[in-house]
This record gives sequence, C-alpha cells and structure tokens, in this order.
Amino acid sequence: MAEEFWKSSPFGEDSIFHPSWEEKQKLARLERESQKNNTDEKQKVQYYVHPDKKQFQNQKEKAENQYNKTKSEYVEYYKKIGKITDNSTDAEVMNALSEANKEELQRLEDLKNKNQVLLNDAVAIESQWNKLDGHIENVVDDFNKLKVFKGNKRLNPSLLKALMFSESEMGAGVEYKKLIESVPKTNPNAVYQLNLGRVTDGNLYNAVVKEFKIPVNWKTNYKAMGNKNDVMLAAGALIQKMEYALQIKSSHFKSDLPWFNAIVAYKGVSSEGLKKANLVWKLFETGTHPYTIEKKLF
Amino acid sequence: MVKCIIYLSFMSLFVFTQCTNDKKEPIHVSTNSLQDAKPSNSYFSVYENSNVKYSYIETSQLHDYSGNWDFDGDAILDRIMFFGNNGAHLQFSLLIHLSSIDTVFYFSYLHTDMPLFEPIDSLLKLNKNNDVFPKFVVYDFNKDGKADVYLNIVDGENISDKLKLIGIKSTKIILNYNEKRKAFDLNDYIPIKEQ
Repeated sequence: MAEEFWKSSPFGEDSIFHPSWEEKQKLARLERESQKNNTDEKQKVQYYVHPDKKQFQNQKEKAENQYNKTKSEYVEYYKKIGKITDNSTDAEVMNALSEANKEELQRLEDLKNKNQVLLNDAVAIESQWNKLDGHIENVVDDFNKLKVFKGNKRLNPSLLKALMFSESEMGAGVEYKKLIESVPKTNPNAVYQLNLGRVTDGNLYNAVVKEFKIPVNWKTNYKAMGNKNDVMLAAGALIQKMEYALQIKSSHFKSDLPWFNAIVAYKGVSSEGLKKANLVWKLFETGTHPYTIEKKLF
Repeated sequence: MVKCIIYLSFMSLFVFTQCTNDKKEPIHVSTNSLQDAKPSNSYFSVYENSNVKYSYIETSQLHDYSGNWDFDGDAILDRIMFFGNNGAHLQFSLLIHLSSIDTVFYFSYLHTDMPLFEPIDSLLKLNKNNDVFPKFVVYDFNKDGKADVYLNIVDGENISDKLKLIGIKSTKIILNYNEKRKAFDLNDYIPIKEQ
C-alpha cells in the first residue's frame, strides 16, 4: 500500500520525504568514504587544538579590557579633581593615583600577565603536539607503500599520532619531561627509550631500526625533543606489532580491526593493554584526551 | 580464575626452576660502556661494579634482583623479579618469591617501564613534589626488621581501579610482608625524613 503510494507520488522514491531517504544518504556516504579509502592518496593527519587555549585567550582579553576601563576611569576622575591634565605623562598619571588605586591597577595587570603566560604555554604545547604532523603524514605514506598496505588496510597517520600522543604528548607530557631530566643521569644506556613513541623494548627497537633503515643515533636522538626518527620508530614498531597480532589469538583483539589489535600489542596484550588501546582509539576517533577524558583535542 | 591458577602455577614452576638451577649462568646483555652499547633493557652496566646482584634474561624480558633482600625475615634472601609484558612500550610487573612460605606473589597490576633499583638516598634527597622520584627502592620503611619494596608505577596515567579498590591513592606504593596474613600489605608511600 505504502509502496504503491510512493510510486505514484509526485515526490518519488528518491525524494527527501521518502522514509528511506536517510538510509540512502548514509549508504551513499559510506560508498563515498569507501571509494576515498580505496585510493592511495597521502592521508592527512588530525590537528590537535589545546582545549584551554580559547579560555585563556578570553580571560586575557577580559583582564585587558578591565585594566584599560579601570585605568581610564581613574584618569577621568583625577582630571576632574585637577591632579592631572590632558598633557600629563603616563608616569605623572601613575604618581597622581592613590595607593589603593595603584594596587588595584597592579592587581589587574598581574591578572592580565598571568593569563598571557597561560596562553603562551597553551600555544607552545599545541605547537609541540602538532610539530611532527608533516613527518607523520610522510612516514606513514612511505611505510604503507613499502609494506604494500592499500585502501582501508593502510595505517592511518591520525592513529599513529594518537598513539604517540598517548605515550608522551609528543614530548609535552609532564611525566615525559621528568624522564628527559632523569634518565640521562640515572641510566644513560636507556636514553634510547626516550623516543616520543616510547618504543622501550630494546629488541623491538633494534628490529625496527634494521627493517625500516632508520638513521637514528640512539645516544643523542632524545635531545631533539621529537624528529622524523621518532615517527619512524613508532610507525615501524606499530607495523611490526600489527603483523605480530595477526599471528596470535587473544580475547583482547577485535577480529575486524587489525590496527586496533596492533595498538593493544604495542601496549602489551593484557587487560591493561586493552584499556590503554581503547583510550588511544577514542582519541583517534573522537578527539578525547586519553588521560583527561573531559578534554577534547578536536 | 582457572587462567589465573594456570598462570600462577607456571610462574611458580618458573621460579622453582630458577631457584634450583643456581649454577646456570643467566644470560647477560653486556653494556659495558655507552660507546659500544646497543639499545637493551638490561641494567647490567649500572650494577656490574656494585654489590647489587642483578641479571637480565632477554628471552623472558626478566629483570632478576634475587638474592639481595630478605622480605619475610627468615634470614634467607628472597627472589624478586620484574617480568616484561612484550609491549613496544615495555612494562615490567613485579614478582616476589618468599622462601619462608615457598610462595610466589605476582603483582600483574604493579608495573613500571623502568624497574631500575636505586638506593634509599634517592628517596631521602627529594624535597619537592615535582622532583623525579625513583622507580624501585628496597628499604625497611616500617622498621620491622624486614625489607620492604617501594615502587613508583607512574606511566602517564591515573592509577588503576584495582589499586583504588584497596585504598591506594598515589602511584608511589610500599609493599611490606604481613606475617599474620601471609601476604603483602600495600600502602601509599609517605615521604620519610633523612635520619
């Protein structure tokens, strides 16, 4: 009955009013995405935005406005009572102010400066988070070609970035910074472990360097705070772990997601590893910060 | 549960084999100097000129500090090891075998990526929260005459639910053997002052 109606309807079965319209749109979108994935064009990496940057920017502007407004009110008042004139210099204006007014202006200036410092830090951290993006895109593209991973079987550069972020925040992580400080002093032989993807298994590190011909000097590489070699190490280790995961069975693996299984193997095949892999995957898919889940990076 | 029993049986067997095979030399990955060293997880070069007994078994990803400390107070030095989880970012879990009760305690949820033993001074000299804490220290923290283990399990994340359940609030943990319970008590590390 309904089918007959739509066949004879002036809108037709492909119209936006047809009950299956949404389903058809979804299928068309999946088809487009599938076609896109089947091309071997270089994939783009997801940019991460510092979640507090906007807030610090707003707070800084607010503090600036408040400082300027308060200062101009003071100037107007002191002009009215004749302590300063239109020609008074800035120093004369400041001298004319009462101690309480000076203190208030100082408080507002401190607030402005504090927010500027927070903003500068957030901008620097965001820059660190994204500074390897070009390398990530290039290395992943090269390795996909090298290993003949095609279409949706390719490694996604945004997944590699999410993994590296979970390990060291691309060098901006607090714990990572402590390691950079301590490891060269306590155990210089372990400085190779300071690569940003935290490939710390010595055997795997050596195997990846060998297979992918990575020109890394493990004794000094950490001083660069992130470079192409770090990306190559993480990408190579992830690929080797993907190949390893294909050979073993685990209840922690998902049959249709080999790159998810690779992340589990990278973190260690265990319930703990699975938990960590889920955090990486969530960051990759939704932008959720792996350890501060209320923060979104895109 | 069954898996757990099988795993612990395996671990007991492994430790038993290790205990009864003292003549067999562990495989060292010699890293004598930074110049000729190759990336390895062994800390052999750190302890080779010290009185700390240490070996690293590459194939099992095992740091073995056995024969250094007595955790149960029976005057026999106990076995203590850290097992790797085969991850690219390798994490090592703590295992202790106590001679007095011939029992293995495997703490799969207590892991660190660098179980490098450091002397108690490394903890005593810390005075600020942002100081770099050592990962692994052994010392008689509760002054009961038995060695206790300090472990810093931080690896960029929050502490596990399992630890929260037993009341642990920080990533720095003290394990001391409780003779009455025949088990280890886990507590948060409380900074100690230099004596």
